[in-house]
Amino acid sequence: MTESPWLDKPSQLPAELIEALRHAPGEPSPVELQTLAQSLGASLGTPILKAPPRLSLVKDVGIGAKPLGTVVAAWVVGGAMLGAGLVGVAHLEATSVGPAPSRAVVATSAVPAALELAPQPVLPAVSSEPEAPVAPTAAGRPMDHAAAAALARSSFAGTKGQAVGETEVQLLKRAQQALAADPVRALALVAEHRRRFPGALLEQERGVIEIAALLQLGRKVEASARADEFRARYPGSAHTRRVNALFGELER
Amino acid sequence: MNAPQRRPSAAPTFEVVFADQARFAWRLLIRLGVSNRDAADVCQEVFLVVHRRLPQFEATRSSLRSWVYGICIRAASEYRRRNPARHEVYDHEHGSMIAAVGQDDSLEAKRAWLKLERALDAMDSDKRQVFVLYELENVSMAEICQILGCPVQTAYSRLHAARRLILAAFQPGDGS
Repeated sequence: MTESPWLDKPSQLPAELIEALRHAPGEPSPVELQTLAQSLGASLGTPILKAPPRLSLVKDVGIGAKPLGTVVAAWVVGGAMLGAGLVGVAHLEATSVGPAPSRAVVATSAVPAALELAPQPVLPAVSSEPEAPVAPTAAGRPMDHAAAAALARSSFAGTKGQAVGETEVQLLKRAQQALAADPVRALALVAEHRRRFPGALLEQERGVIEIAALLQLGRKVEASARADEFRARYPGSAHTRRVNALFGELER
Repeated sequence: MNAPQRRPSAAPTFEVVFADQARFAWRLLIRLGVSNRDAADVCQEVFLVVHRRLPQFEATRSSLRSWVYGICIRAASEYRRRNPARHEVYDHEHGSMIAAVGQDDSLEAKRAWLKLERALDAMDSDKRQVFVLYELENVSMAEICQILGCPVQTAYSRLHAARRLILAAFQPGDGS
């Protein structure tokens, strides 16, 4: 473990400061990291897998870094369902895709993917791809319910909920969840997100949810205008294909 | 910098970035002032952005860690802008930072860190970012300048200013 450059001359520093520099906290516990992986997986629609211990990718750096070992290092995210979550739900809401493998099947098939196999997809799954893994379609039930339920189960979606101190992700999740049954409310939550988080990190994801909600409400002209703004503002965005796909699916 | 590059010209996969960088991102967020209570959510924001922007990583010349840290810096700045005051830090029963200190650390170590954290909380973000990256994360000054997009002299100036503030907070008789 390396130490603060300041500690090169410890005689010039108060002992208490040396103690503080050497014990700076911040490492997540294995449980916290696992929970983060699960929540992130829910948002991305990605099953969270525990890889074999041989996948020890983490190298210790910095002060306060504790050797968490392979328990933490082994947490990886399977790539099979990337993109089917936070914005993917928006897509699923506005479309009706044919039979798809069940979530359980997807999870199982993704297990051997780990890190040793072919490169995982980085771009979010696109709606027009029939193999894009989605939740099973029960008769009369929108397919996004499984994803929404997964979000609801995630440790962050329900516990801190709608408090004043709600974070970007929490509010966006609420918008996403509302999309399933109440696109009007989803739009209201998107507007609230825009008001509370100007310059948000997740403004692209917010934009996709908004476009999906407008389309679901049949407000296609507004949706098109929003989509044009999106493409102009974020040229080359990984979500552009998804936005295009939303309209493509509508016309089928 | 830690991600194995199986294909020299390709960006690492999202799974690799997460497995490799998640705990460092979390740690940096905490040290930049994100409360332990919100660290998971802010870290999730970071990795949603990572997921979205990963295709663009190839075009950059920065290390993977620097790239992720840059996203963390912005996320933490946004967080602190929205949450200027942290109160749970001073809760000795449930304080986030106390909980974040290792179980094996002594009470003295915990108190020392709380004192350092108060000093960090009192300084502006520019100084804190340089101090945390350099002194706690051991990022090189060249990388820090790349992450923050500032000249090296500016970074050193911020570092020295931050050190002076920290030293002042640890002077005997400070009372905190």
